[in-house]
Amino acid sequence: MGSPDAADPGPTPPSEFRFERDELWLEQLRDAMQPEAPRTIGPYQVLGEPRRGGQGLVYRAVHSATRAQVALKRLVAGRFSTPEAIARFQRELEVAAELEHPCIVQVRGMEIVDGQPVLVMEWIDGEPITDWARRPETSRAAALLAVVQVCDAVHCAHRHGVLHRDLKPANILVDRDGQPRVLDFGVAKILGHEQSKSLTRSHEFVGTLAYAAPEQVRGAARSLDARADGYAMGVVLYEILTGRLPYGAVAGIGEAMRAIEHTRVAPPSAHAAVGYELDTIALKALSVDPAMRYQSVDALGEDLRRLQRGEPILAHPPSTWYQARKLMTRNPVASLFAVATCVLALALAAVQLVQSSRLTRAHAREVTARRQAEEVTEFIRALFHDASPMRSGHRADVLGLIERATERVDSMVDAPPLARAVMLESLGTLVGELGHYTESVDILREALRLMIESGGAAPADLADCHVELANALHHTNQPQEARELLQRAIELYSGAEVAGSVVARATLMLARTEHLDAKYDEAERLIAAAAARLAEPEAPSLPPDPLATDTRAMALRCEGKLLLSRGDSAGAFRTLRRSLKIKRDLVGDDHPQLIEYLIPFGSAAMAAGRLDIADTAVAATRRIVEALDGPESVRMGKILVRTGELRRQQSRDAEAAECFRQAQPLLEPERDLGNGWYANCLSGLGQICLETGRYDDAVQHFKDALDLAYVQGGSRLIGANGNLAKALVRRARRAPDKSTRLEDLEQAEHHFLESLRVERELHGDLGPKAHVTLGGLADLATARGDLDRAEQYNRDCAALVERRTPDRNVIVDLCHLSRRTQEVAEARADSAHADYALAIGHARRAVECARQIGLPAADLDHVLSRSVLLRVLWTAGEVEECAQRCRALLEVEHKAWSHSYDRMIDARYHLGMALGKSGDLDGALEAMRVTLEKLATTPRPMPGWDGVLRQRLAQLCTKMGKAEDAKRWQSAVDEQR
Amino acid sequence: MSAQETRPALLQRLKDPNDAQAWREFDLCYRDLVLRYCRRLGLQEADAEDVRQLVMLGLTQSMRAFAYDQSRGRFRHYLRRVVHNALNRYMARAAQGAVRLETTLGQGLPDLADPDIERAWRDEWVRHHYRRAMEAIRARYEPRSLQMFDRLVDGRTVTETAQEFGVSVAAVYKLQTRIRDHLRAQIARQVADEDDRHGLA
Repeated sequence: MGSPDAADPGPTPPSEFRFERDELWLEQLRDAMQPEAPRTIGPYQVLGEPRRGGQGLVYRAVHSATRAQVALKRLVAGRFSTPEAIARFQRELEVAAELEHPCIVQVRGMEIVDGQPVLVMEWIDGEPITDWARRPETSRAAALLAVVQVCDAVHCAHRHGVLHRDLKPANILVDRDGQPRVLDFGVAKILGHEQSKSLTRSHEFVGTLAYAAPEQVRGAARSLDARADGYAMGVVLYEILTGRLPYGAVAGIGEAMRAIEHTRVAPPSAHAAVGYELDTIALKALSVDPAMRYQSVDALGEDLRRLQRGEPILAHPPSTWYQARKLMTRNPVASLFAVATCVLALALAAVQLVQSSRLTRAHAREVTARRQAEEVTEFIRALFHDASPMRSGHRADVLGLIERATERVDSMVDAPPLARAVMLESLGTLVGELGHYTESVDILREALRLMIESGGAAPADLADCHVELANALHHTNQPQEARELLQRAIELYSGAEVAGSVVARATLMLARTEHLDAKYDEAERLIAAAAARLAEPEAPSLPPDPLATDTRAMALRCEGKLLLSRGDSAGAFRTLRRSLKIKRDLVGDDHPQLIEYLIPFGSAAMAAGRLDIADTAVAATRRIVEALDGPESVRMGKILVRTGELRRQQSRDAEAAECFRQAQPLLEPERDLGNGWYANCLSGLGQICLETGRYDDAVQHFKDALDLAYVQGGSRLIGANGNLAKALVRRARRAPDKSTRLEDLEQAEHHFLESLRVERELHGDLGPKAHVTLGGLADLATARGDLDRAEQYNRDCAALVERRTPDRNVIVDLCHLSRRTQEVAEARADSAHADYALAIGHARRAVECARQIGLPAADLDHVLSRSVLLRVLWTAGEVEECAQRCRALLEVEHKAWSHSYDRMIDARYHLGMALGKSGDLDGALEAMRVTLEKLATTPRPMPGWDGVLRQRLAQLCTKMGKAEDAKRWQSAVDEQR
Repeated sequence: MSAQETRPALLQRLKDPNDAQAWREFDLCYRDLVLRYCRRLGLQEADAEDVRQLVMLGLTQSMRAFAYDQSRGRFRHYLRRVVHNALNRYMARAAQGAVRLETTLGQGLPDLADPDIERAWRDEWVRHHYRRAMEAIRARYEPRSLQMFDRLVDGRTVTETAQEFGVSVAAVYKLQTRIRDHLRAQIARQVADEDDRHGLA
């Protein structure tokens, strides 16, 4: 017992709990214990707590008028069900509602209650069959009888054409009279239908999965039949006999698949006192291959009945030995002769089989190959026969054709599994190339399963299939499984004689997975390995490798993307330009495969400040995507995000925001996939809000983006936390009161630290983004007035920045550093403070850095560094140098205006200020006036500046004795206020 | 009761999305808070349940990504954020779906920007802790003591209660003080467990 003695007041709860006065805490407690108003769902009054299951909620309720007790089951999609979906539910339910069996709980129908479709069913007061069977008073015989009764009920439904699809103890309740009742017939199909669209899909809780047949787990919902329900009954039987699940508790589809593929179910006798027959029955019911199971649920029930009557069970028909033994126990003498004969016959047959296989292996292989070829030809013929517009009356689209083809393959149960596997693999790959990755995963899974099951696939083919499935999984954000498949594929390739490019491709895909997981070193190693493999001379036995060049382009692409992630934008730009060139030479200008090359190239161009090139790349991508999928597709959404990001950098905010807004609905289908595009869209909107001073909106966008970053986790959390924190700090600075400000700052600190922590976790130590976070923390400390700490953060940040080789990013980082150091100095209100010198030093280094890497004078970042320097010079009181630098900067104005207009306004303004301070009042007046004129033509509004400039003009005029002009400027300022 | 002692471990365990038991415990503990809060915002029964599902989903995602760090000690705010995100998401979906089914949800949509909402959340959170604490300490008292205490909670005075049960005023005071200290310690522990401080260096 962990409770302290009541006499000891112990620790105090937070101040929200008003224990300081008796009437206050009693009042709070009274408030807390107040019963809630009775809850209703339409005309029904809810009784007690709902039962929550994997497939939704079941309420026990009573109709307010008729007082009838019912169970109400909510559909998962609830109010989001479409009228078409509801019509479909109703059709399904009509059939299910007609089932009549004492053990089947009738579904009464569906009602629309409060705008939501609800299934109304009979309320059963019972407990799950497995719980009931576990009771000491329930005998094994009674439990088995109950299973038999359930089998009868399920079989009855099957004869009416209704599958259950979700048999499990929670759906088989035993009532007070010991009568089992099966719930939810026909419901699973409805729920399954919508579940495939609902959120819960990626998030199955343990339970239902354990009862799903292997073919169900693999997602072959199309081909489910009565044998899947039979399997579920097998699991229930197993659980009743042993108290455990055949594969133990499995979490998630992946684990279930692995369990099915790699483990053999232990016979029940391994866990409980169970005879040989029950072992046989249970294992047969649980066969992975449906063809090996009981072919009907009735057959399972029949065997259980036979067992109870002491007759031989029908499971295991080939085991003559078993049949004989059963016979012997009943009639020992008569059957002895029969047994001897059978054993002899079996032995002979076995010997023959082995011999024939040795003699004719080569021949048999040829026969198999021919048979497979015939299957494929026949398949294609039949397929196109069906699809011919002469027959079907309309032109088949590719996807429709593939869908039909897949169905055909599924129905070809007699074809050799390997032939079916090969066909499915091609189809699955094709579907993936069309961008339907979820479907592709389903089909390729089935292909891989068949291939493994057939046992006849060559290692290289098997590896190919692994790679294709991994690719589809990558696109549906299932990196873990993709990684395992790729590793396995590489292993398989190593034993086979295949072209270097094939292995390299799998290796590069693995590198891509590691890269996404922020394991940059591992990705680098893999890319290097792939490149080495490509450089090796091919074995003379192999034909020249047509894919070598293509794979080389891919390797460069992977390398470039990695450089980009590591912050080397110039290197990334060069490498990706090369990869794009190779690919272009190979496939031409408009090939869809270019998309994958153009997108990272565009990003690198953007990061390297080559906005014009980025613009061309984005336009080219857009053209290809539009030709491929039309104007509205997920892919187009991604292109729009990229375009938006580019426009933002070009300061074309309105266009950028429009791009992001257009992208949002297009990306919706992949929103929860965690591939980051939707989050990028939100971040883009957030940045725009941040730049235009809409801090609340910015915070909201970044919060949403962070939410999505959780879906993927890993390195995305670094940036997402950082962005949110940054926005919070900015908002805090404008906060109306102290408590809001502190609240924001506290939250911001949390997210900054979170960002650092994730970075440490991923990179071991301070990683590529750490200086940004440290800078943010410095801002935060300054905002809090904790200047010493701010100084410390700035120093840490400077140490990280200075360590790096100069490039554009270093310039920007130095500029930020200078600004921050200057802010600390200003806050100290000590003009002689050493921080000013530091700030000037950072800015000078930024300018130096820009010169060093050869940026032209009008370049975006070069201008930035110079403008930062003149600002800090001004603040530090270095008026003369400031004025000089202002003039120098204004020389490049006409070139830099489009991208650095704000810097130019700033430079003009400071020139005016510096001139004023040095006594050249006329010059100052002129400079301010021109600045005001220029301000009217900036592409992005610069709020607040107008007033500042007029104010300065008024002051200057007063100083110069031009009272009237001063009045004019001043009145304009007042008017604005 | 070990349920309270294992609370910090529970939050740790949530980082493993496959620890179904931990998720069930967590759901059991916080479900009522989320549902009541949603209903208080005017959501219907079924909608509140949907939002609760979204909250659990949001939590699995963020917990898996170790996004919540107890060292920051603000689980209450964190949970509120997850709930509000779920509400936002739900309302966004409702706004799209409402056209099709002519639902009634549109009328009572909570305005999450309303400053009162922060107070509503805090109130529900306070109530949640009182309820949990009361449940936890109940077993340590005699039914008769609890009956007496219920009177006090109902608003009777100490004197009235003493008269009704035929005990001294001092005895009632003593009971009240004992339960108060118990509750206070229990709530303090619950909140501390929630915001357990460890993790970040």
